[in-house]
Amino acid sequence: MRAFLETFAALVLGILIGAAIMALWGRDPWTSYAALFQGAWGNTRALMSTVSRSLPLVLTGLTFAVGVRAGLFNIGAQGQMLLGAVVALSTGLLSLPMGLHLLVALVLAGLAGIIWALPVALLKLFRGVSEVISTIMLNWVAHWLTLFLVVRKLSDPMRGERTFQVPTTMRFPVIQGELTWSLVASLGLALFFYWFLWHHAKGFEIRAAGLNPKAAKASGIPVSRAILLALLLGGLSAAWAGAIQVLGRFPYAITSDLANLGNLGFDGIAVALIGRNHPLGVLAGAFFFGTLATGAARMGLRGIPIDMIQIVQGVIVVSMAVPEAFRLIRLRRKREEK
Amino acid sequence: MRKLLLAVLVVLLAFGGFAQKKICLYFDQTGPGDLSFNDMALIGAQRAAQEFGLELVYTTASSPMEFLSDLSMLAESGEYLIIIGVGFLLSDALPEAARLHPEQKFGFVDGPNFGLPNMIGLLFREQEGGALAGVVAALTAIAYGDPAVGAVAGMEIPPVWRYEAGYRFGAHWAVDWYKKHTGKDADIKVLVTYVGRFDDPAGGKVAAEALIRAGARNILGIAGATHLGVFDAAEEAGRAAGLTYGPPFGYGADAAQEYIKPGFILGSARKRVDVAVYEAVKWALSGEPGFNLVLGLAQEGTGFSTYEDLVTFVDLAVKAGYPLAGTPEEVISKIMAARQNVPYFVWQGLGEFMGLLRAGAITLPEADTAEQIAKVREMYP
Repeated sequence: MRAFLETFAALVLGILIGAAIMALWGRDPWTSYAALFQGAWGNTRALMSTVSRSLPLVLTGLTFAVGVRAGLFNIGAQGQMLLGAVVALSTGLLSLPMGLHLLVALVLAGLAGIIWALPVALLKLFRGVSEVISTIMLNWVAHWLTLFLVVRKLSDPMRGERTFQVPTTMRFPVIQGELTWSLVASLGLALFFYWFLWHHAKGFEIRAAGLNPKAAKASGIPVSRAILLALLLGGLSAAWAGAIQVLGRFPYAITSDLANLGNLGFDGIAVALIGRNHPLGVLAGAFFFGTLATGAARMGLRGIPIDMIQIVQGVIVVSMAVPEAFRLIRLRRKREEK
Repeated sequence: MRKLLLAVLVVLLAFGGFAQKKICLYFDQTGPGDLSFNDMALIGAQRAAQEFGLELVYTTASSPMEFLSDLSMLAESGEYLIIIGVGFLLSDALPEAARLHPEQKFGFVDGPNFGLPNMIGLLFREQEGGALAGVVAALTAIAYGDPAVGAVAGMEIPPVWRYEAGYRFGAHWAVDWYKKHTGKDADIKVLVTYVGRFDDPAGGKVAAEALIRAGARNILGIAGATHLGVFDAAEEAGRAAGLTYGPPFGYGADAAQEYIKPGFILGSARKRVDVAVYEAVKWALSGEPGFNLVLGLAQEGTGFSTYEDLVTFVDLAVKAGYPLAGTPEEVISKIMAARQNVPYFVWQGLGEFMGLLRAGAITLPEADTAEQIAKVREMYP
């Protein structure tokens, strides 16, 4: 409850600072905010778009959140997300029957994410390499590898600016508007993470390892295994974020500048911080992020340049992420003092 | 009495509805402020709004993930006479939105109309501007003894391919023309670097520096904001060699961009995005079914920047608060001085090429697909 109030206060503060920025540049902040929410929630179609936009963010948010629960600072979601997307897309080169094709794509993408997370875990457990360093480096390897595949191997010969489109046998069926059944993949994994962390012994091990690794070790909890599990689960989740972006959202392809995958991985960090690194909080954080993104254009119609919109939204996001970020820093300090 | 009131009400509603109709521009990225492509679209829309008594609004995508939801949001409001998508990257989302909203009219700058009755495709013969720049670049390179000319391109998409194809053709035509007229030998290679993005001036600068090292001191920019880095690189290399005028020369695209680095930008391949947007609004008012409008040299839709263009864009830059390197008069005279500095035969060649092109005596290569551009690259290395 306290956490909720804190986040809410941070939201109000962020909105006020954002309003001050807009007012300073002679724009009316309240009609602008009204436009933002109208653009995101104004009708069924808008709401579907917003939810659809949020779904991959749930998954990258989970990656960071489960890492934090294990005492990690895992920022590898970006690279794992890119690989998941490109592997899922490449599965489109096979021809398989409807449904099965989608399943195979998800399995392969998930495997790619797990394989990409494995070196992070091994380096940490056997060589003591900080996961921060190894994930940053692997993110770049994944970025250039994905870019190479997208531009050189998978591009649509008639359309230089993107890859071929995923065959219909591999797409998530549409629920309504932009929303597809990738909803189940995303929400399902979030619920699974919740159940696993709070209602399963191995999940308890992860949380215990994160709270106090020494105490956990002393009471016989295999901390190494918990860390390994948290990283691999995170890899799976992030890769699925990329996969559902390609298999479950228009234009069912990857653009040549990777812009339709954007910063889904890094945004997941902010989503997790807003959601207090709790799987259910992550759902709310992702929905909030989707709201900001989907409502931005309508805000633009109010005469606010895109750069200012991004500044205002950045202020709100940072402000909301601050309480949890501080908590993590305090936690780390306490751990180091011991 | 009641009937009269009702009639008045109906008329009011009808007029109210009509007066509310607006033009909406939707930018695929960066938005206005690029002093080029996007700003030109805005200028065209402003002119149309003024002439036809319409209101103008615009907004920019925060990322490609929002294309479809943004366009749906605009279309379902019913407020807009026409929604004009500015930028090739809307190639998937715009036709999809037009299919979902058949009652809404759309315009597509840089893309075709996909055979949709409610959409006008606004295309350009980019080859023409590219070829004119290629002729000037190659003749200037020959005049200063360079082995090559260069281009820094954005993404591999048809509008950029068409520029590249024209540029290659123009450069090779210029070499042949020079040989025929002087009897001397010349050989110019065309080096083209794709940066992969339209919003990366730093990347454009690195690419241009590499081209200059390879001996290509005449470089066409066909990469939006990315090729602003080309101008930086040209000016820096020139200043380092103690010059006040190029070569090295950059060449602008779409707008007349010479004022950005006066003395080090010799010319620009023009593309009148403003004309296209204006025509799109006119079409929306006409009630005719959608078609593809192709603007070329004949309609003054493409070309090589003229004195009038320079004045127009310096004026625009001043209005936008762009920090000019001197008074507008100084800037323009410096640009013209740079042109007068290069040997006269460069302009002779340009004039002859333009004449032949207008007369239809020259056929420029097509480059709408990856196969076509591959062939052009092979034919005009």
